[in-house]
Amino acid sequence: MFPSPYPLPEGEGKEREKRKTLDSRLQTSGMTDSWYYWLFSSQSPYQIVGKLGIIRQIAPLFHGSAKEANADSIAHHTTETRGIVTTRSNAYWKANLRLIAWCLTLWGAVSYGCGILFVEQLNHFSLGGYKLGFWFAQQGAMYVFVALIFFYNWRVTRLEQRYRAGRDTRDGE
Amino acid sequence: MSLQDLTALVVGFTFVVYIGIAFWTRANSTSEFYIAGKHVPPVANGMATAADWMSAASFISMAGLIAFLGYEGSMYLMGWTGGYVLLAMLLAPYLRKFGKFTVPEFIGERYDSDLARFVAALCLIFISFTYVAGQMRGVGIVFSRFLEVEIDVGLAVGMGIVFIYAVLGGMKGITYTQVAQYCVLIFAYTVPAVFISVQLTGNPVPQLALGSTMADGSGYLLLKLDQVLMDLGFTAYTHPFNDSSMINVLAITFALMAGTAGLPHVIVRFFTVPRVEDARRSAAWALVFIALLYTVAPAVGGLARLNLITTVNGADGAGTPYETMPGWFRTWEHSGLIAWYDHNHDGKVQHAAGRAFAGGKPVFDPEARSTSGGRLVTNPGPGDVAEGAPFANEIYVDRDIMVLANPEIAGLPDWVIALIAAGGIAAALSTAAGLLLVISVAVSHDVLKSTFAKNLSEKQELAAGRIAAAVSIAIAGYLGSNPPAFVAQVVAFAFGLAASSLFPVILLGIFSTRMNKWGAVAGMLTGLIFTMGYIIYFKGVFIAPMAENVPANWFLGISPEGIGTVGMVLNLCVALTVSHFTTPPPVKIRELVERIRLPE
Repeated sequence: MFPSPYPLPEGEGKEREKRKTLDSRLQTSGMTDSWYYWLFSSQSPYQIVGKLGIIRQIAPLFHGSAKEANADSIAHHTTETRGIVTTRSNAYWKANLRLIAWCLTLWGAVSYGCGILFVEQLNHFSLGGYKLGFWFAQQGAMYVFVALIFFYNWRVTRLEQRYRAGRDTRDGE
Repeated sequence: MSLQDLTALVVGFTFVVYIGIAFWTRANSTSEFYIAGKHVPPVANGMATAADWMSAASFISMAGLIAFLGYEGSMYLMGWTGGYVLLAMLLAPYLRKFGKFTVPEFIGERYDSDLARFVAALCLIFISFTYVAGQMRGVGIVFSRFLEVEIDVGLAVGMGIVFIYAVLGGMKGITYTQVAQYCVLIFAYTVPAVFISVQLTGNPVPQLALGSTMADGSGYLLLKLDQVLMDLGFTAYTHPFNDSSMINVLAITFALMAGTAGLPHVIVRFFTVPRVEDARRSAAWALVFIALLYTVAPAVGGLARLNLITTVNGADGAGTPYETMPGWFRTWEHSGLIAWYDHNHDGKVQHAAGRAFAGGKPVFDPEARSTSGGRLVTNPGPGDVAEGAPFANEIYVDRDIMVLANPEIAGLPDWVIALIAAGGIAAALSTAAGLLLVISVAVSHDVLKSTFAKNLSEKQELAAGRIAAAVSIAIAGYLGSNPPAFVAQVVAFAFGLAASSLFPVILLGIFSTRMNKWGAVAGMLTGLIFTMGYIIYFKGVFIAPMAENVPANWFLGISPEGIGTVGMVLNLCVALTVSHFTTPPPVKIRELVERIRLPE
């Protein structure tokens, strides 16, 4: 759930009450859960451009990229032609490589980045009784590793299902 | 019931369970003997992998290493878990898709060369030997405590049990026994950790306790630990890069990660599941089960260090008279893992920064006892007071006992101490059995059957495997009794070798269709020879070291433990260059690679 970017008006006035009702309506509508609420609730055009960049980078991981969609369409309209089948295999393999590259970037960022290279800078912050860099090195990195493998398995299984669906269509025709 | 009887009872009970399971699930065919007939469910395989993986080094030595290294201990924590991410994404599913028995077999077929297979088998045997030596040392330490005998006698007992276990077991038996061993070792590891966490911080979750405040109201635990250590002349516990430079920490972490992914006895576990996606899933479960122990280890390390210092130096921080030291101190002194020399002749045991003994390790007079009953040591150091310390350090504490003695130091009930012994033995036995199986299979299946005696019958192949297992146990026993370094460091060498020889070759075999046999063989040999040479040059495994093992002499400031990273880079460079100037692999190999890449 994304919070409203506008600060509540000061004091106890009518304006404040009105905003509170509006905010609670927004929350119950479920609209604040969506990424476009987060995007368009920005206060300046520059912020929107910045956020768009982040979405462009992250969205393919959750919604499937254009190239994956292409793999899908190839999968469903393929013929016996060897060239096209190879393209479909290539699309699967490339999507898999992209996914691996993303996961390993995060893997390196938490272990070598937060845990070793920037440990001294992060140690200026703390997490309970832990210095943050020390926590990443002795706890946090390992939690991220576990989450990463499960995330990768979930995504690559979906890729495989698409690939298999395509192969079965071809076999059926 | 005395502590020793209770320990014997607990350990004996676990042995009965293991032997029962091994007998119940014994292998009936070669496929079952080598890869458990590919019938192991992913969660069970994850648990077995975790037990196979978590060795005596993880169980006994790692918390001790962290306790003495502080922040730098995290290179072992991240290094030994991060490799599973590489394994799950880069190796396990494709090797399972290939669907054969051994790692050298994959390399042999992928590179269409018996030479590559032979070199890979050689690398595998080197790696597994280095690793199994660490296990034998661990078995010896646990048995020497449990039977109260010298380490070498404990080692002999351990060798006998591992022999029965590995030779008669087979992969199927080993797998299900490892599931039981995992349960024993994780229970044995977490129970004392929870006890100590509650004692010191009131928080029962060790992962949180390390970041909590002290129960006695003296502020955050880690801050207090930093302060106590600095008052004794040590460096602060959480402060990075005081035991090891940044580049060395990076290199060691990477060598351990790539080494994990290249360790043959771990890879072979992913051959035992029914489907390709089960290989990925069991890698995920394996990491969950491993992380359960690995996130507890830093808490055990930190809490044990604080406990040790407060026990030895007493409440006033001035030392404790030898006569009033608790019983565990004498027990471990008898085992030779603790030593005391009264430098200032005040009759008190005192612990601070600095070396108490010339050359670091104590040399005991076998029989003689001092007037106060302590063991006599023949090599006391000069007894200088280290900079910033209030007095000279008078004790030697072997890092390996931090986990084993921790419950006694914390004054926990006897059954918890007995449990630790059972857990340590479970950890060492499960890994040793897995390694010995890999060695014997490599000798019988990859070296003998494929290279020297191609018409070997299945029965002869198994007999050859059993003889190989017996010989390797004897060699491992010798290495275990004359170890080149601490248990965890011996194991670190195995990782350097795996990272520099097997990992790059398997990786290139899957992700490059252009890589050929010349590149692979040249790369493997370069990585192996460079890494082994570097380690022997500084550590001298069988010969005297040729240079002093200090940072000033190291290549780029990288210690022998982390040199596998450089070996791996060299391997990749040589392999890519050589394959670029030689003929590309035949079409059938390229088709094989494309088949491995696609889902079933």
